[in-house]
Amino acid sequence: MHDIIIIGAGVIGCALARHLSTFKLDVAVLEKEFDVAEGISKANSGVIHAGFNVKPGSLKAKFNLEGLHYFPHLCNQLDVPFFNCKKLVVARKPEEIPHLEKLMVQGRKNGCSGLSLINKEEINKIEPEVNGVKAIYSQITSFVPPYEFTIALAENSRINGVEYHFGQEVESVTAKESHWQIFCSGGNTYKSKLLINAAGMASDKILNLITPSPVKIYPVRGEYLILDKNNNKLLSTAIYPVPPPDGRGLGIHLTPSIEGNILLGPSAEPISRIENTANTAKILAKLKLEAFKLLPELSEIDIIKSYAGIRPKLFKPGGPVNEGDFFLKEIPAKMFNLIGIESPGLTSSPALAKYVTDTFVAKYFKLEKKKNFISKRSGLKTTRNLHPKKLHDLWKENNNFGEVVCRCEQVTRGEIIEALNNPLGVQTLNGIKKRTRATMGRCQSGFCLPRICELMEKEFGFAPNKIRKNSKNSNLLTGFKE
Amino acid sequence: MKKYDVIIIGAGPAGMAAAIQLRKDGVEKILVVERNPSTGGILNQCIHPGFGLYYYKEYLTGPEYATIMKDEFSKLQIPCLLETMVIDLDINKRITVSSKQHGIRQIAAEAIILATGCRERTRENIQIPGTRPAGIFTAGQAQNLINCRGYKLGKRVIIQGSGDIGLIMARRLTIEGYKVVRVLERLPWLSGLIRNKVQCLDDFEIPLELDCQISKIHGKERVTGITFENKQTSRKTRVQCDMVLFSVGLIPEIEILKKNHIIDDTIFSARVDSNFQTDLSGVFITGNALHIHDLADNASKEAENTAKKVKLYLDSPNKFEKELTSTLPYEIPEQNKDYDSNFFKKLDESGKKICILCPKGCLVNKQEWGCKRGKQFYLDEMNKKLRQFTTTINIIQNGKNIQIPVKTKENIPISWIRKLKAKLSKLDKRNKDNFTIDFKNRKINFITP
Repeated sequence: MHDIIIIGAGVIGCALARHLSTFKLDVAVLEKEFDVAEGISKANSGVIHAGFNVKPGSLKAKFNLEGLHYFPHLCNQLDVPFFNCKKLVVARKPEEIPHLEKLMVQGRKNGCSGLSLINKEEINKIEPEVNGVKAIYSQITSFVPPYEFTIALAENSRINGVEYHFGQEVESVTAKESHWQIFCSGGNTYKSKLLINAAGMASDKILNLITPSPVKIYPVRGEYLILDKNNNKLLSTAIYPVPPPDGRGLGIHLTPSIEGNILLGPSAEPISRIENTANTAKILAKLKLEAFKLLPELSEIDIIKSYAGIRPKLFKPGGPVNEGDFFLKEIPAKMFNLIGIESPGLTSSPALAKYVTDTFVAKYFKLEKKKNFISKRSGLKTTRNLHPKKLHDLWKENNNFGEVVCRCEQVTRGEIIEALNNPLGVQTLNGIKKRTRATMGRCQSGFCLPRICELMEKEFGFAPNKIRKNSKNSNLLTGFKE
Repeated sequence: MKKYDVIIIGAGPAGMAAAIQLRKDGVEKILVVERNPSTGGILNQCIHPGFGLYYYKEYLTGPEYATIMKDEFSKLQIPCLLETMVIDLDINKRITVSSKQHGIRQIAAEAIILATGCRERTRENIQIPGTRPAGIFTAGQAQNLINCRGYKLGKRVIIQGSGDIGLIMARRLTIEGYKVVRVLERLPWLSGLIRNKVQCLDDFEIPLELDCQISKIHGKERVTGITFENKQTSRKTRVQCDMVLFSVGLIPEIEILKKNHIIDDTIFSARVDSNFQTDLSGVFITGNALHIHDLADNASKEAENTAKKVKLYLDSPNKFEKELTSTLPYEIPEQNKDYDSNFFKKLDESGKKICILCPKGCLVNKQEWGCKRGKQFYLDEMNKKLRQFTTTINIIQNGKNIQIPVKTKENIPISWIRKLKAKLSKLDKRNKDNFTIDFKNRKINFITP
């Protein structure tokens, strides 16, 4: 019997797991996929928001403003890159200026710091390529790779005793007198005294298993393009348009990542199925056009990847806007639900974790700090930015760090082996990708995939037909007889 | 720091040809750096015949072509660092290399030749919509997984792109037991060589659809199908498959030059002068790293010419400078637009055959032929279609299972291929020697390179 079970290993579930792991509690996380950060948390812009886009007085505003201050320290503790890229919200036409002014007022009401309204010359001093008549310059807006952050939270909580169970899709939940009984696909049953629903896109569905959910998720898809690293000199600040008035999103923006890639997106299309992360011809064409407009020097081969993420909106598309706030409630007793955690969810995650612990968990458990809590985590070694002398020293310790497996991102055999030995026990191709960047570069695995398969087969004893991309039935080499 | 006269990056058909030429011209201190465990580059995974006709005046498979070069290499005692990756090239012509065996080292040279080949254009580069499940490969990647590592990728395949690699893979997959449902081509004409359409698609009755591109990929975890659109008719067709292969073009691999801004960051292929030299004096590019060649033979030939310029650069810089002109040292071949639907229709009506004995692909019948061999080809083709059969077999060498390429010594009827393949997969062999198989009361001789 666990004290607490968290359903969902996205950034919210993992932030909670990590925070709870500082206390003397028995915590387990159930995740339907085979890794953490496989849903909303892997496909977003990774922006740590300053907090001027959210409605004053809302839960979004509260947790955004609170959450963002945790990041520099937390990223330092967890060895996750934190990039203070700053942000420009650019008005291209004079008629958009009033919207900017409104945002400024909203920002001030929310208590944002580091905001200023700047003119054309000032914009061009910051980003010479960007055209605009006026802009909000936000100096504290930052970038964090969202899946790396989630992995770090999960790994650190795992070291501190949290259990992770992958491939566990919750099918039904029964309330017993003193505990919850949770039945998962595949026949596993788990028991816990408290239940936390952080199931992301499926969080309303999970609540419906127990009691009718007062809120419903309306999925809104956002498609992205990723540009090759060579274009990083073109941009160093996140560039946003004035947000469209439909409340579906913040508009198609450019986000420079730490590694030098530029993310372009997302669109905002209401869809019917929560798992529909397909890219569409219409949006890809639109994004491409937008990319060439913003960066005329771009060539087609600079577009190295497209993907799509889904926002869990709590209001009907076309309905009244800005009414979707986070849904945070204990219903029924002993079950806490976090539903509709869309942007600024990543920014809010550390504050949400603290809030749920203080208001919900503390009601049922005496929170006692663990004496032996390990607060520091070391991420995987990376070789691509190491000085040759340092790299040589690393090679002396372990010669696997001399063999480059992924050439586009310069990832060595040593790094891939370390990634496959991760504390969560994740052994999928996407797991390797999220942890090392192998297969993430311009050739998109063309060169290194055969090498990685061979490594998994020879060093980890994988039968070729058991090598998976990510989920249960995503086998890569399916031509073998079973 | 060790210093060489010339460092050649890449030991494929271009890099090896450059090294051989330099050594023949008397350049002493040469070093070749290769990331794979053996020389030969992509030739090693191209187990099909069709190489060497121009360069060696022989009809060879890729591995055989590589073996000839390798033998020449050892004869000339050209030093080569294997399993070694160049991770940096600076403006002082120093390279940083990394390997499991020797760690990280810096090496300098008077001249550097980049013979790094190319990479494949991906599904992402042409923005094919749909989901992102397992089962999507580039053609060369699939070729490597199958021919070099013996993996089985799936069962029902759609190939997008009628370039040579796509066509070659259609045949290869069919021989390996996959069902190739269709080959789609975005353009109104065939992209690859006409002889490859004949011997890779027609021989195995694989349909080619011109003017067609995948408009959507289906399947959440593994590919379940695709929808393709005919650009002329706007008609969309959904097809079931569990694999998609993309053969949609090649991109010169010159990223190492971008790292220290030796060439412009955003450039697609590098600018060179008439001596194959980049903007940085003493750094040269050749082979597919410079521009995409349709035959390995041509890449080797170009590398030979590059080597001669490098020799001149080393010996007499003045003369080297004098030779400089403003013209490119290569011609970009014009796209062949001949093989469109009209052509194929006329071909059917005329009863003519396409000769597959050389890359030219002449139309032949009893009265007309490109050369005498073409006439013989036509007569044979009307009688019994005979082909050379190439595949890989699994052997156990030093306790390890390895894949080796094999080919039939004589041509055999197409209809025998699948059955012979089945027989070969049961073969228990422990060495690389040539061997014979009894088949239909005949002895079929197999050759290993």
